[in-house]
Amino acid sequence: MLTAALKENLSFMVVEVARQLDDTLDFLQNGDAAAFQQINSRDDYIDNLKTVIENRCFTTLGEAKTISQRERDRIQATHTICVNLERIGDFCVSAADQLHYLNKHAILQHFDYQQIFDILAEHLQVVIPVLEKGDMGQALAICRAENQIDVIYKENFDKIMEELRRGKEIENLITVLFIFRYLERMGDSLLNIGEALLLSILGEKIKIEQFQALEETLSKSGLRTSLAEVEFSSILGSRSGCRISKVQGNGGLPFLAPQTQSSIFKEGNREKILTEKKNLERWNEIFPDLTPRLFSYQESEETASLLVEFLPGRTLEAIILKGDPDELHTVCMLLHATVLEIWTRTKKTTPIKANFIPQIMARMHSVLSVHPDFHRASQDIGSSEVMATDELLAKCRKIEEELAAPFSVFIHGDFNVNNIIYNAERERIQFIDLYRSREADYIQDVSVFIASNFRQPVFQEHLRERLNWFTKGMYQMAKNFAVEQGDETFELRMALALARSFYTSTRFELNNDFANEMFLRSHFLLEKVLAHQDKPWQTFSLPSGIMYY
Amino acid sequence: MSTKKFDYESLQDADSIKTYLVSLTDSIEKGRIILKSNGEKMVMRVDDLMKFSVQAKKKDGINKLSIKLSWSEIKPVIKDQRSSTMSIES
Repeated sequence: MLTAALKENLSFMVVEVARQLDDTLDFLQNGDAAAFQQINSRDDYIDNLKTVIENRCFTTLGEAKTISQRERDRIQATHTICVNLERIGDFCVSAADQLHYLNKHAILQHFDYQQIFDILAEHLQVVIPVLEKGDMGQALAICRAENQIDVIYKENFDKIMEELRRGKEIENLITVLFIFRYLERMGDSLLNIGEALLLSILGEKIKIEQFQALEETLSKSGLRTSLAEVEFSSILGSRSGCRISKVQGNGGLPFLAPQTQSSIFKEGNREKILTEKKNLERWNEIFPDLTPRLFSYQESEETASLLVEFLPGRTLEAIILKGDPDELHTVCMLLHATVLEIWTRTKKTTPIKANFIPQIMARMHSVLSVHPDFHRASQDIGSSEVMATDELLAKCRKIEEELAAPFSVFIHGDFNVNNIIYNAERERIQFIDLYRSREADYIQDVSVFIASNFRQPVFQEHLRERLNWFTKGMYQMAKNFAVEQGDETFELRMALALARSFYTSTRFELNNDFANEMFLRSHFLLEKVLAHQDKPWQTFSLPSGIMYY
Repeated sequence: MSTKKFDYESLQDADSIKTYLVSLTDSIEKGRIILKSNGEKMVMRVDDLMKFSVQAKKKDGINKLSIKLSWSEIKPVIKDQRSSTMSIES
């Protein structure tokens, strides 16, 4: 529960902002100078209340010995609400102040601003009850009110433009436009308040568009009740630009269709989500049960959302770092068998280029934004020349252009240890996060796997041994496959692929020393490839120590 | 006093390390070590006498071997004692 004092102060603030809105409306209608004084002095009071509430929020969070996540969310929401209430208060002052620039007060009365004040007042009065009782419907109504305000703003905007085109009362009309602009921004603050209320109810930061996408997606999948009954937890960040969350019925409630009792909801860039959908369908044809089942797909103009099966089990990362040794062996065997089977089943004899170097180039900007010095200049040490990163990449790119894998397979595309799930009950390996799956050089998956082991930020000897053991197994398995398939440039392509994976992995690693290890390894590999260019590529030998830390 | 710096760090195998070391010993033999970074040149003239130190450390499986050369370009002033002798005549 929010402390009584905090609740009381927030209630005061809502009341004061509501009064501020009333007085601003009154002032805009009547232009009474005394009213403007009142608005100005109340603004100071609102500012003070905001400071008091802010302080209380931070002290409550800091002092409480035990505080539940739920309570934490409510305090966070309270803080966001008070910040946005204060903004509405500020916009009131700004809107009222514009009236002084109006020569003809009557001009403003041709436009319908009162509606906006009515909407704001109506929704502000339910903020405290929603925060207390967690009424999802009303929280959503507050969010949606912003859209209503936007529509009114647009109507009036168009009307102002029309009048402006007549070329009369230009100054006054611009002032009116400014007033409406402040009112429209009040709507934005109201939306922030609504989203803060959603956070306090759902325990998740969620934007209204994402919420609507989730609502529609779930409804397509058999959900027949209020979303308040659904547990919604973010399980991954948004590294790939998609929001990924786990959706679960509260205690297995019967209203959810059985298959959606536990699912993963992804929302984000339409192209990415659509590609993932198509890939899931493709994987399902090739290898049923290897990837999550697709429950539903929704798309709007820019974004799309997916609801897919939540695969029970642990990630390979968790098993490598925490599993017992017997289990480690079982999982390793199963993983190799699964990968080999995929490669064999999907192998197509058309040669395919992997383009590892362009992949580095495309991510260079992100690498340098995290590590600005991970870019070597050309240097001379006596008569030895050190090639600059750009030149090194350009030369290796040329080499790579002449190389192709002799065949393609359908790859995972982001084959890191977090995207491989082991289901101990069913003793099977499954894959998740498949939006990068495509026909490609199998070495791409192997190198990503190896780099994802390498970049684990764990440094205890026994854990590094486990990671190295897994890496060695994967490399050996792939190497044997290459020999069987007569893939003669395996080691060379692997060097380029690892150079790519090490280099681009640095953008996720803030520990400079550790990231530097990967940066140096990447350059070493590229230099090795270049130094070999006058000899037959088949004789290139990958320095095996490069894969282990 | 201007400070010039050159910095290079890399991962190498025994063969390429040998190449770098040979290139440095060649430079010492020729009397000057030239270091360039992005076109900016730093020339170090080799002296008759230079301090040469080797330090090695082995700790928890980590090996470190540092080879250091240091010398000064500022030569001590050696004045002719006779000409600097003060003489007072009356």
